Amino acid sequence: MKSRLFTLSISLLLLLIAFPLISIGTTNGPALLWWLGLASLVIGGILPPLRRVFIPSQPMPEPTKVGLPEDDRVS
Amino acid sequence: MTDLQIPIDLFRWGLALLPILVLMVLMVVLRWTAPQAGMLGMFAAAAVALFVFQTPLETLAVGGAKGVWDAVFILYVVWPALLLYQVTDKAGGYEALRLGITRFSKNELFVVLALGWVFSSFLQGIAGFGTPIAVVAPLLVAFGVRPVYAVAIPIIAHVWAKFFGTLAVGWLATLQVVDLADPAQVAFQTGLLLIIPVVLGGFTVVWMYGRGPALRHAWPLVLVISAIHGGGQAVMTLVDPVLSTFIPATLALLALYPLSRWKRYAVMPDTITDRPAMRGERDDTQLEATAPMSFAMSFLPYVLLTALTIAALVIAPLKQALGAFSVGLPFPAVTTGYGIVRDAVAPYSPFSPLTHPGTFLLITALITWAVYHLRGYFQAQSRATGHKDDQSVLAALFADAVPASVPVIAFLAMAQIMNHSGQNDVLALGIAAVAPAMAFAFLSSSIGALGAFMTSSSTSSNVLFSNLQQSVSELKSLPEAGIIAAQSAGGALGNAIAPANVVLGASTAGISGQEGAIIRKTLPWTIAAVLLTGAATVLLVWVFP
Repeated sequence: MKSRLFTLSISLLLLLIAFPLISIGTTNGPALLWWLGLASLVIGGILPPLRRVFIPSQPMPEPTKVGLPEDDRVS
Repeated sequence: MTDLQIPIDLFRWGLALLPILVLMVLMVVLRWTAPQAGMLGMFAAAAVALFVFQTPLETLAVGGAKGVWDAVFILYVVWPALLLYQVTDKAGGYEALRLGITRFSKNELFVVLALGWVFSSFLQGIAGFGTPIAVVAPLLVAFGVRPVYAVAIPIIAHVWAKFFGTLAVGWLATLQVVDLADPAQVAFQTGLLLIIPVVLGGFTVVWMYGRGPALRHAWPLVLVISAIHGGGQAVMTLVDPVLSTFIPATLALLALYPLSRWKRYAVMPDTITDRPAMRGERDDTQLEATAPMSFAMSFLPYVLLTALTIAALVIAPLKQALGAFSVGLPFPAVTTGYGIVRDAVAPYSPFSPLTHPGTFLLITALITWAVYHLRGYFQAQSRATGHKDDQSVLAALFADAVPASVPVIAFLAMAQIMNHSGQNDVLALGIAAVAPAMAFAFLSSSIGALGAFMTSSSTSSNVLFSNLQQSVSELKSLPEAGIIAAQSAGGALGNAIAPANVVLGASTAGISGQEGAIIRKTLPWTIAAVLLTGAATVLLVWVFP
């Protein structure tokens, strides 16, 4: 569970970083910035499904009061 | 809608639908989690955009980045809402609320309605996510409700609060993805449509409890609470949609005390002999627990939140001063090979943090934490629970908020990529070509329900489908407000059969594996509610053309 949270935290960070990189890179350049932003978006996006493919599923932890540990929707 | 050069045929329409199908299969059939399925949905949208819709990588990058920014508006509600939830929970605030409710009345049906309907809706108003089910289902089991009913009751009873709940996170998300001509009208009409699940939910809980005799006993109570929930929500959308669930849900919780003094509900009537939802035994250990704070003190955060939000709303100079500060970044104009153009923006969707509900939630959470800390509630609750739950507030916040944040970004980035590449336009034009206007109006809430069934989230349903619904309404000359309202109401209703809700409820009630039995209770209700909402939508687009 902890390593899943770690993977998702890295994913979240990369996705958030992509926004300013792409904005600045596509508006004022250099182009390298938005390419980095796109890469950040792709890597941040690919981490959660990759984890599913490469790390076999583990027994489901106990539900918390906010939901199941695998229950990731927003309201 | 841009003048399209894309040929509208079944092949391209099917490919435009592919990202949604990918999401549906991964989440519903293969039971992938939302971050995993959401991200593959985003990549499917990007692949279709790149290889079929002639979308350059720069346009894809801009669309994806705008989706990330759109998510910030939602995450700034999600994180503080979860922080407030954790602060209140770890100080024993919810325990105090629960004990207060169960001690109100000796009437079993009154308590089932109070916990299953009013308390679950209150939790949805502030916390959302799976909290109403995760907290209320075990409480009902402890009170003597059969586990399948203990899950079905809060699921059905709280969905009315889904869209404007969690300080209207679904509404804020909708404003991010569609440019509405008259947002106030959309909010109001959504409030009107959501009266259907309020009334239907209340009466269904009573029917589940004790069939006809229970209905004859409880109908005045159901009507009073429905008026507060449904009427209150519809009226509040005219004042401030952000508070439109929170305030009526809180008022209904407060109204339980005077209602419990009503002679009619002081004791159980002899007429209700058949009680299919009840086991005939109950676990009093949970019911006899003590809480570190009083019932009144547990209301502190909600009084604070209301005061802060209303102050910022009604004091015009304050509102103006707070709204003056905004942040945002620019984007250039982007295009596709098929001539879809998205204009340059400077800045894109500026964010005013000081007037955003997230700030009010954050301030409320911090003040609540300070007050509860000074009064020693955290230590008292920790001792009362035998240190079973020793995770810190911040650790618990991260554990819940990070996994909830990733799919929000994934769904919004996917929606923006579909929008920037023209996939939404093709989907809308395809539907418009075959569906008569009123048939589409009738079915628009079903599309919302499908989105919520796929993602277990009314917010995500609106992110995925609002743009499409708006485009079709434009093409069919239907009023935008009625169709977006139907999407939003449908998005709330679909939660009653959403796999994540059912699995969560089954798990917390200790009946994992009986998800089918729960769905057999919630599915007929959902179908009835969606059909009624469809009919009401046709009426709505006729009354408000």
